[in-house]
Order: sequence, then structure tokens, then C-alpha cells
Amino acid sequence: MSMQNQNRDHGDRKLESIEQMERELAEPLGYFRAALTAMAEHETERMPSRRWAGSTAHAAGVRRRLVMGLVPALLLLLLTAGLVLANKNDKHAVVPAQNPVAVENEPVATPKQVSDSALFTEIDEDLSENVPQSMAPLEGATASTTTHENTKAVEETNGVEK
Amino acid sequence: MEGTVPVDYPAAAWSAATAEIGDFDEVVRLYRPRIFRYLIATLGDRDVAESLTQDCFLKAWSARHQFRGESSLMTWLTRIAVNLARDHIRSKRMRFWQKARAEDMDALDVSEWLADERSTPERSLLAREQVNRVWTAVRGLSPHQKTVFLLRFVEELELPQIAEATGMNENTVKSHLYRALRAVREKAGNAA
Repeated sequence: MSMQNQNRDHGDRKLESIEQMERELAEPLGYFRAALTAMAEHETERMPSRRWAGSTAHAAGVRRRLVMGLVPALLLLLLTAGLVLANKNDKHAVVPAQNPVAVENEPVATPKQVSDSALFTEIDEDLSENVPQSMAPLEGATASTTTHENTKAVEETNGVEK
Repeated sequence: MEGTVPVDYPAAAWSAATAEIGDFDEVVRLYRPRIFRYLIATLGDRDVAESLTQDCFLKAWSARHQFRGESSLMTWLTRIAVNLARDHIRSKRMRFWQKARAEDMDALDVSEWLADERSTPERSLLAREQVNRVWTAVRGLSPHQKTVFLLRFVEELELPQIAEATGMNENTVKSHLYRALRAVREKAGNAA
């Protein structure tokens, strides 16, 4: 008998044994399975369920809600943009009437032209007016201010040494 | 339980669900109890099973375009769940908390979920005792044996489907199943 046949026979015998044991243990295994099933059902019921974004039904719902939300928003945006543009145009139409951009140069009042000689004459007249006696220039006033020579002489008299 | 989907549903629904993978909410609604059932039986920890169930559907959601319908949707989801459970068991954190997990499994009393439909209180008590014996035996199986055993007797997958979901060949599946059944019969068979 070849090795392959031996393995097959061995496998078949094992399968028969498995089936026999399954029959023997049918009742306890059935109870075991029933208990685990009841527990799993109970536990998964209380698990938080999340939404899977890719689910066909869910995705369709999301798309529908997105469209329902976006369309009014887009319309509102367009309306606002239209109003802003219209307002802008109105302003452009009124502004030139109220504030003309190009204003003609009006003649600016310039000071009266006075000749230099007339101005000096006027100053002289003002200066030649009488002033109080106390303010009159000192008569015969000399250059009484201290000169270098005077200072030297005073220093020599006082014996100041440099 | 009104409004809930029974964990057992006809195999014909699989193909329909395969076609409806686009409606992922429906896929989750149909298969979540089954995936959770497998994970809690494998790991014995409600919180971890719940977290991995979410991860399983998240992975399936990410890879949904790769699903070609070559296997049933349940087999495909089970493969993801088996890999998640295996990775979790292998993780360092899991090894560190191995002891705590064993205690969690002890605390999880599966038999209390058995509906009290037996004719007499004695039969109900006996049924619960049988569930506890199986549960104790399952906890003592190796990871491979446990996976194969649960997929066969809790998820009711056929051997080729188990092979596909676990990535083992069919003979390996048979070997693990044979050993698992022998171990369970030793512990639970006496009372059966």
C-alpha cells in the first residue's frame, strides 16, 4: 500500500472517529453552543453601533442630506453676491454726482504784490516813530565795551598773573 | 428578543450578504453576534472580545474592496477574527496578563446563559453542568485545538471552511479536531 493511500485511510478513520465523538457529545455541545449564542446576542445588543460611512444606504442618505444642505446655502450665497454687486453699481452711479472727481482749478487768492522799496519805506516809517525817553538811544555813547587793551591794563594794575 | 437577529441563520443568507457587502451596516448587524461569540469563547474576556469584534469589522470595512466572494462572507470575517485573536494571544501584553485572563475565563459563567427550557429542574441543572464541563475542557485545549473546536461546534463551519479560515490544511484541521474532541469527551462525556 502506498504512503498516500495509508494517509488517506488514516484520515478517513480519523474522520469516522470525529463523527462518532460528535454524535456522543451532541447534547452537551448543543447546550454549550446555545449558552454561548444567548450570551453573544445579549452582549452585542448593548454594544454601541456605529454608522459605516460607505454603506450604500447610509452613503445615499449622507449624499441626500449633503445636497439638501448645500443647495440652499449655494442659493443664499448667489443671492448675497448679487445684492453686493448691485449695491456696488449703485454707489458708482451716485458718487460722481456728489463728489466730482475732476474739479476745475479755481483762482486762489494770492497776497497782494508789494515792492521791496515800498516795504522798506514802511519799515523805516515804523521805526522812526517817537519812543519814550528811556528807550531813546544814549547820546554820545562810545564803544564802552571792554576791549582787549583795557582788560590787559586792568589785569596789570590788579597784579593778576597768568 | 424582538428586533434582534438570531445568531443562527440559514446558510442561504450568506450569499445574499456577500452580495450586500456594500451595505456594511447590514453586514455588521448580521454577523457581529457570531464574530463576538467566537471571540468571547476563544478569549474568555468580554471587553477584549468586544474590542476585537469592532476591530474585525473595521478591518473588513477597510478591505471590503478585496472581498471577491470566493469564500462566504462569514468565512472571510472569521479569518479576520481568527487572525486578530491569534495576534492578541501572541502579543506580549497578552502573555503578561495570561494569568489575569485565566481568572477572567474562570469568572465567565457560560452556563448561566442557558435558557431554562428543560422539563424539570433536575434536567436544567444537568444541562448547566454539561455546559460547564465542556467550557472547562475547552479552556484546557491548545490554541489551535480550541480554534478548530469552536469553529466546528459553535460556528458550525465545515472542515474546508475551517481550513480556509485558519490557513491550515484540512488534515491538520482534522488532527486538531480529533484531539480536541477526545479531550472534551474525557471531561464532559461522562456526564453526557
